[in-house]
Formats: sequence, C-alpha cells, structure tokens
Amino acid sequence: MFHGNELPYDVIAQGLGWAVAVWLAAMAAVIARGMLSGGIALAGLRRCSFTGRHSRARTQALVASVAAAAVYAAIALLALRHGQVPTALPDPPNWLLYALGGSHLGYLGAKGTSAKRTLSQSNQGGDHD
Amino acid sequence: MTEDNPTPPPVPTPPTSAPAQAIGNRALIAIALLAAVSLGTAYELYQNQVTSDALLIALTGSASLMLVVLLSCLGGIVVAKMASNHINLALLVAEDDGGASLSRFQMLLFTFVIAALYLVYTLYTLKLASAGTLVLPEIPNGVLGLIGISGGSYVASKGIQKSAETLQNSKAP
Repeated sequence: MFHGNELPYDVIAQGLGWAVAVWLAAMAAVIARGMLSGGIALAGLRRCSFTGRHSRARTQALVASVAAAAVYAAIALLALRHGQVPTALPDPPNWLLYALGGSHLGYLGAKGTSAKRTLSQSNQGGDHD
Repeated sequence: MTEDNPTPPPVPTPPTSAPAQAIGNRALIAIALLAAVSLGTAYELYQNQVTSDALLIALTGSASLMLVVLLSCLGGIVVAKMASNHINLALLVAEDDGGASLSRFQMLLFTFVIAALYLVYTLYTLKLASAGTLVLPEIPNGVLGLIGISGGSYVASKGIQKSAETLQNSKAP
C-alpha cells in the first residue's frame, strides 16, 4: 500500500545529510575558533591537576590521542578511494587500539599515583601540625 | 567612604533581541506542530488502510521536509548562539577549577572525528547507492573500542579526581 519509491526519499535524505554536515562543520569551526583565540581554555592541558607541574604522562596521552584520531581518519578516508558503496566504517587496526589503550592506562596510572602522593603528603603535613 | 570602596563596574551582558527571539520561538513551535500533525495524519491514514496514495505521499513528504527544516533551524540556532557567545564555551574542556582537562579534550576530539567520518560515509552511500538499497553504514566493534577507550578514560579520570577531592575534603579540619 505504501509506495516508498514514489517519494523522493533520497533527495530528503541527502538534504538532511548535507544540513547535518554543514551544522557539524559550523560547530567544529566555532570550537576551533574558540580554541585558537583563547576563548576556550586550553591552558594547563599538559599540567597535572594535583601537582600543577607539566606531566609527561599527560603529554604522551595528548599526542597519542591526536595521532590515533588522525590515523583512523586517514584509514577511513583512504578506504573510500575504491568507489564501492561503503557498508561499514573500517575496523581500526589492533595495534592502534592497543597503543591508545596503553597510552591512556599510563595517563590514568600516573594520575592515580600523583593523587595518592599528594594525599599522603597532605596527611603527613597534617600529622606534623 | 565611597572612594575607599568603589562600586565594581557593571558586568557586560550579551545583547538580547527579545522580539527576534520570540518570533524565532513561535516559528519553531509552528513548524513542530505542523510536522507533528502531518506525521499523525499520515500514520492514521496508513493505519486505516486509506488507499489514496497521492495524499499519503504528499503528507509524508511534507512531514519529512518539515522535519528537515525544523532540525536545520534548531541546529542553526544552537550554532548561532555558540558563535555569538550566548552559549558560553569557555569551560568546554575545563576541569572544575578552570584548568584544561585532557580527558574532556580527547573525548571531544574522538566524538567529532567519528561523527564526521560516519557522516562522510553516509553521504557517500547516499551518492552511490540506488534508491532501493539505501542502508546506513555499520559501526564495527573496533570503532566502538576506540570510543570506549576514550569514554572510559574520561570516566576513570573523573573518578580519580573526585575520589581524591572527597578524601582530601574529609581529612580537612
């Protein structure tokens, strides 16, 4: 009864798709402008929240995150070269997942250690008082 | 006395144009109502086995188009408010103390990258596939793993932060 083929669903879907694409690009542009102009605070991205000093664990996690996102974006965009209809996003290679997971574990471990050390130092300071 | 304690300068407030906002809100409500009525009517006709295909197609098509317009308007308003600072993004990737948060930043990065790639794949599918074979691209487990690592790292980081703060506060005199 319901003849879907007679409605221009593909045109509607394309219109919606392009509207979302423009919206996402505009949002990314607004956020990027905020980050570049200092409107969005990025100061202290590499600084430990407990000690206030630059942390190597945070730096490596930042580099690993940006690199992993860039590598996966490149893999996904290169997979479109063949001109076939894509049925799924490409699977990221296992080494990428392990590298990102390891990097984040390192960051979390360093953060946990730093929190523990800060707490124990403050406790010792309290005992002396 | 007044020289010792000068009154602080007034905090600048973002410019507001109430009439324009009211018109925009009414237009959005009208579009939403029209879309809801059209969808409801189309569904009712479909349920009652009405065979007037032309009417059904017209109603469904107009409802779909109105939904596209409605979603575009909503998205446009959000982006415009973000661009004009009515929606403040200063602390988008910040901790409670105002310093930047690595876990929030990397989560924002992965969300944008994967959303953008999925959109590119969807548009590519729309371009290449014929009308009867349109299927949304699947998301493989590896991509879910990437999102999971990013989100899990964010949650764990917040957990460490909050538990340390709670412990510190409980031991404070």
